[in-house]
Amino acid sequence: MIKGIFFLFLISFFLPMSTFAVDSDFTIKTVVGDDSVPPTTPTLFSAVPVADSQIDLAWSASTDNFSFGGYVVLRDSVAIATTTLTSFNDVDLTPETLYSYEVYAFDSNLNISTTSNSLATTTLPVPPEPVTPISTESLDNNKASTQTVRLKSLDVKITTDEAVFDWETYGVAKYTLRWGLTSEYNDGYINSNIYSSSHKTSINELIPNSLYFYEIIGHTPSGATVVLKQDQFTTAIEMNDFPPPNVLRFRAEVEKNDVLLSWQLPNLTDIKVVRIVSNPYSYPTDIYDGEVVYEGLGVSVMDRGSLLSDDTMYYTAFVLSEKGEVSSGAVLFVKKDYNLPVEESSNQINDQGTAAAPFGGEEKKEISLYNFDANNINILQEKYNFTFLSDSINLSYRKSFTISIPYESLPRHLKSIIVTLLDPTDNRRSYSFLLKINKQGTAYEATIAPLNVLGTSRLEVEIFDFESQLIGLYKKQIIFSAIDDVKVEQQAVVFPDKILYTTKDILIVVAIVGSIILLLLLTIRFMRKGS
Amino acid sequence: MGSDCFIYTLKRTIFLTFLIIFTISLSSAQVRSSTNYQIQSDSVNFAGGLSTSTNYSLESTAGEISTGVSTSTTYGLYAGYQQMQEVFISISAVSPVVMSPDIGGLTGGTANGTTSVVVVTDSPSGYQLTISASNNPAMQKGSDTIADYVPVGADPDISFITNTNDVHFGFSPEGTDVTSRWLNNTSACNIGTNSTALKCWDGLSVTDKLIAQGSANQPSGATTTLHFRMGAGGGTPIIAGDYFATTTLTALPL
Repeated sequence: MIKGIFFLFLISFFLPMSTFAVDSDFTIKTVVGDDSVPPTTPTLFSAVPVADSQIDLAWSASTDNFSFGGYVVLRDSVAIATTTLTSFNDVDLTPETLYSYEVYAFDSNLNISTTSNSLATTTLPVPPEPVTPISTESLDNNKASTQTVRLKSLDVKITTDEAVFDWETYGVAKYTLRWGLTSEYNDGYINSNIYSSSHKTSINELIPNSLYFYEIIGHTPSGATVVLKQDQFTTAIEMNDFPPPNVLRFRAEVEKNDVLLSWQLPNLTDIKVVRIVSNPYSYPTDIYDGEVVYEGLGVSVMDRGSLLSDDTMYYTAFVLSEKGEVSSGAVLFVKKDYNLPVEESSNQINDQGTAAAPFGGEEKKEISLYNFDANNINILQEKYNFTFLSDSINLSYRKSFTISIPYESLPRHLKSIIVTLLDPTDNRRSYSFLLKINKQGTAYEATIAPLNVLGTSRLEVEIFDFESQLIGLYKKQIIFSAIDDVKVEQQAVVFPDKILYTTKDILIVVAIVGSIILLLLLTIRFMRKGS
Repeated sequence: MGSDCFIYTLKRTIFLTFLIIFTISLSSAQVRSSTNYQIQSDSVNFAGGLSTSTNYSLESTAGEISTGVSTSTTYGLYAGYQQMQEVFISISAVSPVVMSPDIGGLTGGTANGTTSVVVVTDSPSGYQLTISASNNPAMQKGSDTIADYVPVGADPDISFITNTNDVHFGFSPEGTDVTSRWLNNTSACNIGTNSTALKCWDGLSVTDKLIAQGSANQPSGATTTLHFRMGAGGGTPIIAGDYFATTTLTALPL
């Protein structure tokens, strides 16, 4: 009996709990179509001769029930082209010849439509005589009324390595686009063989941050050759490849034969070390070009005995980043027993440490070097890109900026470029930097750390050319302001950092305090007498 | 000796008494069903029972005081001595799915369709939602068929893959209650916590495939969205026509 009860217990315990379920049925439908159906038949609208060698065609669009493919153009019943467009320029034709055209459509399954209607037309006769190129100036002066092509609009979009040209003309023309790093336009060319009033093309693989010259020539069906445009553009700079910023406020004080150097570190998170190199002959142009007088993360060093055997010493302070990048260099030079500027320039910017002519003392001239002009001097700060020809240069005082000059804009033989920045709050002081060729070899660059001072400054660019012994000097006013600052979180540092009191100031304060004390003593004495 | 025998008999009686009581209580707490009936719950009364004779039959009870069911949108009251322990579950009607666009029989392509289902239950243990197809393969047109999608591995494919010669039909569930098999870590399924639309693809089967499991959710219910896709790589021609897959979603209280 016990066994029976125990068996019942087990059975009941392990009986599954059964439940009820609910269902919902539905259908899923998909349609597989018969795509053996061809596209609709296009209608050939026009066949227009535009030159002695070209006929332009246009037709209506076809449709397909699944996947449209394109069109096949027939000339005299022979397929000559395949296109997805609804127009075609048939070129390289024989003058004064009758041609017949048809079009049919096809889908991606290669079902083909029936052939369109046929249109026939004759190419134009050969123009009488070729015309020599006509300058853009004559067109601009509206003296080109007899010409058959004129530039209507032109849009050139420039990136770091590409220039996209998009232009329209009054009248149809073929074109030739030539470009180059000089006005010889000898770097490349594009010839179109299609007469059209709308053109678009691009030049690729350009050198970043480089000045290019270009020329667009139009060739009309009548044989005229017209210079539509001659201009230049500068490719954009690759923004992420700037060198590290230099040290700020690199200064020197001479004490007999010793030189006390001081500087401020740039606000660079991955700064590894500051290396200061000296050279008695010229500014050290790299970290190995002279004697290393300091290497560390301090802000001053005494170069003892520097002027013991040399009367002049040139210093360059380099910032080395953790990535191994080296700044262009902040520069200064000193002379023995001479704590004042080597030469006074017209802008009164000189102070100890001001860059002067270290390569031979040539007379400074404001001249144009080769094809170089002030437009080649770029001032870059994030989204802002100025040149020395910009109306005004307004930079954020809290951000670093880069001076950049396209490499190709200057002769390739040895040269040095120094930029000098006046202190915005004290124009008697200035700080100089070397421009160094960047990693890509495309530009001379120097990055200057944020000044953190508001005010108006001036930037001077001096170009020293050893071979031609010429010096180019360019000056431009720069305004450091709070542009881009939504909220200025901290007060800008105002130069000078220390407030200096004169003896006169101290005497006045002592006199006032003494008078108050004397007055108090007399009052007390008077009150005692009264009591 | 007599004392020992008495004690042994007493122990045995007590053990059997508890065993019987426990067995009865367990039995009364369970529900039973067959293909013809289902008992939500049964009871043991202290009085009453079935009395019969050749002329009458009397089902008498004692103990119940008042019974009745009161419901609202947010609660259900089953009043009485022992009201039936009903488990409520419902599944919404699922709209037919028409996939689009049409697929070219020669060029191939991809067609998509979506539907959703809402399951509402007050089952304390929650519910399960399964899906099955009526046919194998699911998508058919007479004797013409389209293969069910087959994932590369044991788990669903994170993306619907159609090679040149493939012509296949699959589904991907999405919702808060989908089971771990349909969750992804953005790169693989059956791993991670994301339930993402158009991720984790599998083919239908005539046997139930568990797609969701959740807890009691009355009255709002839980929605599960089902994405369907047919892919044809263009390398294998498909006979033109309308193809259908008859599908069943089953919600089961736990």
